[in-house]
Amino acid sequence: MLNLIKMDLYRMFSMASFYVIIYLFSIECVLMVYSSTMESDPLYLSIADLIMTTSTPFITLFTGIFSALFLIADKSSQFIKNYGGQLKHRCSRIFSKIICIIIYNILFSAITILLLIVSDKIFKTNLELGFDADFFRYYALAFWGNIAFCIVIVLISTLFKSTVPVVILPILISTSVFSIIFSGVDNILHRIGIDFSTQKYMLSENIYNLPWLEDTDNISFFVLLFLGYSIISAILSCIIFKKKDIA
Amino acid sequence: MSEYLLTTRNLTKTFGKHKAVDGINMHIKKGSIYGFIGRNGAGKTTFMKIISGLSAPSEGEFSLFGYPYSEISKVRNRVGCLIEAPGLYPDMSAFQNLKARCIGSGVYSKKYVEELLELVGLSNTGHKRSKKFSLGMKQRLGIAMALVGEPDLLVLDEPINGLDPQGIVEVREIIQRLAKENNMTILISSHILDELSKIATHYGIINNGKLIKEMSAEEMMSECKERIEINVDDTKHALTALDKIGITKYQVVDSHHICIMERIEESANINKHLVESGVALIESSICGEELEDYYINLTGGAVNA
Repeated sequence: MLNLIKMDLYRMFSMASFYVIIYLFSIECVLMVYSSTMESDPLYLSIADLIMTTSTPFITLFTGIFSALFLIADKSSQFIKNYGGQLKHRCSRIFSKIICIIIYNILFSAITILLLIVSDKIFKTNLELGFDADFFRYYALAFWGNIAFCIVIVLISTLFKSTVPVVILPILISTSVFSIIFSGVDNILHRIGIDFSTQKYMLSENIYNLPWLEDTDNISFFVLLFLGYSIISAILSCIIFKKKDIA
Repeated sequence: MSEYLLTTRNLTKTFGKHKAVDGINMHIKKGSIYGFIGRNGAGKTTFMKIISGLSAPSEGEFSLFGYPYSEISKVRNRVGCLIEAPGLYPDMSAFQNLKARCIGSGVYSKKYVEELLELVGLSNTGHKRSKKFSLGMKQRLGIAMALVGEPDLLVLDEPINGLDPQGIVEVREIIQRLAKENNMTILISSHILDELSKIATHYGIINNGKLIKEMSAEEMMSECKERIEINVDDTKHALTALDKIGITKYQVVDSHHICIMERIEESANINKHLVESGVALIESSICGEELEDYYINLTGGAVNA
């Protein structure tokens, strides 16, 4: 398992998309800070404010795209055939990928904060850090939400062989296209007399709603929701990968 | 302990209603080079995927290195494989691909990777990305990937596909060296039956998912040996004449053709005797079967292995 993680990390750091996506996101971060200097009234009061109000959807989108590319790489290149048959426990591949994705998310988050602080100094916007308890509560939940989203992508990459659906589906989820579809489902449910909102349980919607989290009682809902998505996706990925033929 | 490294029992793989592998009972001896022959779609790759652990059988089981199927996961890492196209990251060099594979197996050292590259003749590829490799180079890198961790059983599916004549010779030499020096057992399929006949110590012929023949190279040689083929007007009359001169090893092909499997060097005398006995001898020739002919006759169709 440890060797598998090392192999996946080596692959991850060798991928061009690893650097390209961080580079693109860096530009995005710099532009966000720069745009705030153009306004007479400050758009953001602090770095924390900027992350909470603007960065979250971008972080979800960018980490989602990279996760999809990374997760499908050994299947689309058929590299998996070299080692897939030798695995004592096929689940170890799933866990290895999840661990790599968590490491990627930690790096991505760290780079985001660092870039925003550096950009603030460069453009002299003099934003406060604003890293208070509320921010850390938000950030921990948002981080966990992104991990849950990436584990859902692990499941998607286990289901499909081709790169196209594995990349397109996370983009659709993270850009809330799915929520449009599910609002239609909610309407149908409402018409037939079922009072149930699927949108309430949508992963991306809940991640994007986190900055406006006021009631601390709601935290348990988010924790359970993200945990549920993570565990169910991981278990399903393991079951499917165990049953499916490789390549 | 059994003399067989791999034994399959009624191994079957079904896709929907189609049986890609149908009740195969294969026996591979330790240290042998087992040539696996069959048409496209005969079930070779599916069978090899099952043995390599990439696919699970629908029915039946197999034992590997003496371990029953229920304990096969213990010895999975002793099987290296190159199935269909080589699995390579296209944006990585040969060294990087091998490095990733070695890290995954816990055997990485720079020297080890360089040795493997040297073995397959790719040591001078430098930083060239594998997507820019020729098919032959990819195949050779695929073989190197399969050799990581020095497996005891090497499963090679069409490894000489796309190789130039020199490449074919090099791969043949690698395979022979691995079997001889490392006592590696090799299960290999190939379209080029003539090439397979140069290295295989055993053969298995598969058709429509079924293993129709399994034999050693010696047995194959004996089945493919030279014979006299005669074309006569009346086989009954000819057989009486052959009996008179003590020829007993023959096979009647049809109402006009007989194959004589003995006294090949006396073909002129046999012809003379047949003519003197009043048999109208239309044609007589000495012929021997190549592996390809043998395969065609056995499977009853044109070669599309």
